[in-house]
Amino acid sequence: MTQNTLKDDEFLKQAKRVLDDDVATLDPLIAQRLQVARRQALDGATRRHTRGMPQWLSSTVAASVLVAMAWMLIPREADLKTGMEDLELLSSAEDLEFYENLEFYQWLDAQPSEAG
Amino acid sequence: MAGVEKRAYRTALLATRQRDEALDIVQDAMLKLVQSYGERAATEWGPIFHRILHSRIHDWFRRRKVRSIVGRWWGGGEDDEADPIAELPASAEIEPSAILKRHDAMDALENALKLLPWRQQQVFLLRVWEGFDVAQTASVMGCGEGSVKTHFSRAVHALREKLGEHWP
Repeated sequence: MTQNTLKDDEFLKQAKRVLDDDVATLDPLIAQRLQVARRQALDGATRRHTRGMPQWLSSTVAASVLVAMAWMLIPREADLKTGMEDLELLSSAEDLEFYENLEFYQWLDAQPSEAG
Repeated sequence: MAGVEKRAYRTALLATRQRDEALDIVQDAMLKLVQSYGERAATEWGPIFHRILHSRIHDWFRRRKVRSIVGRWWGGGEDDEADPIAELPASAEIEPSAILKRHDAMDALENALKLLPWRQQQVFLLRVWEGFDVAQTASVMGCGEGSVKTHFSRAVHALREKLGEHWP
């Protein structure tokens, strides 16, 4: 090994030490900002994984919501029937008292007729 | 990544000489590393991170060059020419306490490094500070191993000449 190479090696070691010392005494504000940046990068990656993983799940949930909405919004047969009855009731010319006593009349109708 | 970020910042600062630009570059490189290479083994992160970092610094130089050319076209004239004094960090960015604390040896080395062409600066930091071998450095810099050796030899020669025998 020549004298010059030895000097180069020594010089490079010194340079590394000086650079390391400088980084060790880096402005705390800068060090903090770097730390935050690192955390944000790692958090971003975590969120990306969480978002990307259950794609099938989000599709299933979306489909379920659509089905539920359709079930609630599309009028069922029973609802239609009730609606028609209400309409009949409202448009009827019968006395309101008749309807108030409707249950009684239904009961009466259900009774076996007496002979005679 | 925790141990690398400060050296990365210092590397970017040496190249850009602007604190916020350096921070943006490091943050961008970290994001890219985690987003695109997060699945790789942690042992591979070092060289990959530096490849991204140096690519970002290179992009920064290119953007600055384009801005300078466009500025001249649109009537900026001589005012938009790269001015070495204007490129120095703004006085507000130099905190008195930091200046006092900073070691003379680092000041001298930093000033000498700033005088080197970017490729020599880059190869010196990768070989000496990051401890990359010639092949790894060539991979990070996207050039041949012969080119790395040449740049490194010139960098060491220039730095020793500038710093003198009695440094540090």
